[in-house]
Amino acid sequence: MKKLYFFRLGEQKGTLIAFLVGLTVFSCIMAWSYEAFSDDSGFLTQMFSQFEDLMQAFVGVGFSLDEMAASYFGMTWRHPLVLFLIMGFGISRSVGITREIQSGTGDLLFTLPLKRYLVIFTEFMATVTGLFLINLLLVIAVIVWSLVFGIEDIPGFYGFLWAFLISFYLHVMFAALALAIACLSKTTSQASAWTISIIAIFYVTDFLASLQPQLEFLQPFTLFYQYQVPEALAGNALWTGSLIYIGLTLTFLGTSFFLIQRRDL
Amino acid sequence: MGIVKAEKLTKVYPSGDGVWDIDLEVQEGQIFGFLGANGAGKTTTIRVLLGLLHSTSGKVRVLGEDPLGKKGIEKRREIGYLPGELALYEKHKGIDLLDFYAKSLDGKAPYREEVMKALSFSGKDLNKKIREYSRGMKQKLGLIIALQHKPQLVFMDEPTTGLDPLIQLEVYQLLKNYVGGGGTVFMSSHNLGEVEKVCNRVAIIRKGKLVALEDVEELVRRRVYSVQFSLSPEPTEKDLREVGMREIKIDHGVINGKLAGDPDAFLRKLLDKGKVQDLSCTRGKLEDVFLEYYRPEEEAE
Repeated sequence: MKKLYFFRLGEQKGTLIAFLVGLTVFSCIMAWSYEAFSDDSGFLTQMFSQFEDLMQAFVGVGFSLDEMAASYFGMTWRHPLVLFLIMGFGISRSVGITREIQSGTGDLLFTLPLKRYLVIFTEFMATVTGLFLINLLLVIAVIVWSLVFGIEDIPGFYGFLWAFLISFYLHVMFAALALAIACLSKTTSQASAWTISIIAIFYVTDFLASLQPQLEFLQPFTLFYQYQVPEALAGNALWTGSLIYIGLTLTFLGTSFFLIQRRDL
Repeated sequence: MGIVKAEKLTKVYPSGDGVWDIDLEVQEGQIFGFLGANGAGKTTTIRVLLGLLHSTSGKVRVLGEDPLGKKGIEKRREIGYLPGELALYEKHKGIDLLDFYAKSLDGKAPYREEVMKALSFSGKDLNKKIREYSRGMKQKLGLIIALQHKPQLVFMDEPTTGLDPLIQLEVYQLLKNYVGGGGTVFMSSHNLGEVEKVCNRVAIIRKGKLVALEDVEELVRRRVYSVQFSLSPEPTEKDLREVGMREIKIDHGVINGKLAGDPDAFLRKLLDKGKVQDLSCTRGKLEDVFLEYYRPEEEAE
């Protein structure tokens, strides 16, 4: 197991370097623009007030004009580009199992002296490690750039810790969902299409439900509802969201184990 | 007990294709050839034996264990495998892949150097990324992966695919050496010459069913001969069938046909029928024996 874990981890080097560059640049832009537009001119305050509903839908639960820094930096985590990139990493790694089975590399992998569920668990743990590092990188980049630009009202340690945790749990959960779908799918494109469609439906539903009160009842089921980064950055513990994400991760993982043991390779 | 054993092994895919009632046993020290046309069920059988596919019914034992059971999974340390459609992690160097598979088993690769030497695979080649390899080089790397830990048993699905004829001969010698050192080979092939050169025992599979299981020597003995001669008085086709001939063609007194079985008995019977002239008898290929197993149903169709 250990050998397979490190073998898989080694494959992520290039991707992690790309994330390091990308997230550093992105968080630099975010920190700089906060510093530049949250001054006395009140540009950010005006924007947030004018488009309050839209900003709330975009940034998620916990958006508040009173917690400007937490709401603003929440955008970093909830920005579609960041979500897409980090989720894309987790999903592509998870559906890699189908790719292996489809392309034939899985033949040698699944004839190692390991039970099938241990093979996919090991691969999943390598993905989780990658997601851990990416999320950690994002937090560090935001903190470093905030200090570089001398931002005074940046969130505190617990704020960043909970933002990191909730983001990490969310992405791990989606990676586990992708793994379960991959264990059920015959082709990589099928697995990717199903996973991306489900997540896109959740995201759009969450967004629309934030704007339309009559759809509000759907929001708790979207899995994005618990992704309350501004709440976290404001220093609030997100136990419920974390437990939901961990519970779903374990459920998806258990389903993956069940499916991989029974399928033909 | 055989090192590989299948009893009434059946695997049916949702499409209705598959293999049915496969009974076979491979003894230690054999090079067992699994012969069949494309789509006959060779790969399916191997994949069930390796635990990659679940059988629909029947019993399978590899090194005495169920390949999907706990002990069977542990026994994989003593098994090598070369897939038919070999796919390798292209981003890695050859050496990294060899080390990964070796470490995932027992961490040792006592046979690596010998296999590399036999396949003319250099250390320089190992330091290249696999995406830079030609098809033949990838196949060689697959062979090294399968054999480097000197397993007790190795499954090879068409092992010489993509290799040039000289290297093919090296592979045959390598397999013989490996078996001489206590190993056992279960290899599928549709190359009859290959089976004849290297295997001791052979199973022939047609449309998912085993149609023959015998020693290669026996199969070779039953080769078909092409015969040509004249006989006076001129025989009827019925006379020629009585002496064991088939596919008879008579043209201006010259008789052409095929003969399966013992030529000695044929000649004796033929001489009883009259005077034989201009006899030529050419030993047929093993391919003709193989086709014998395929012909009856094709003719019926």
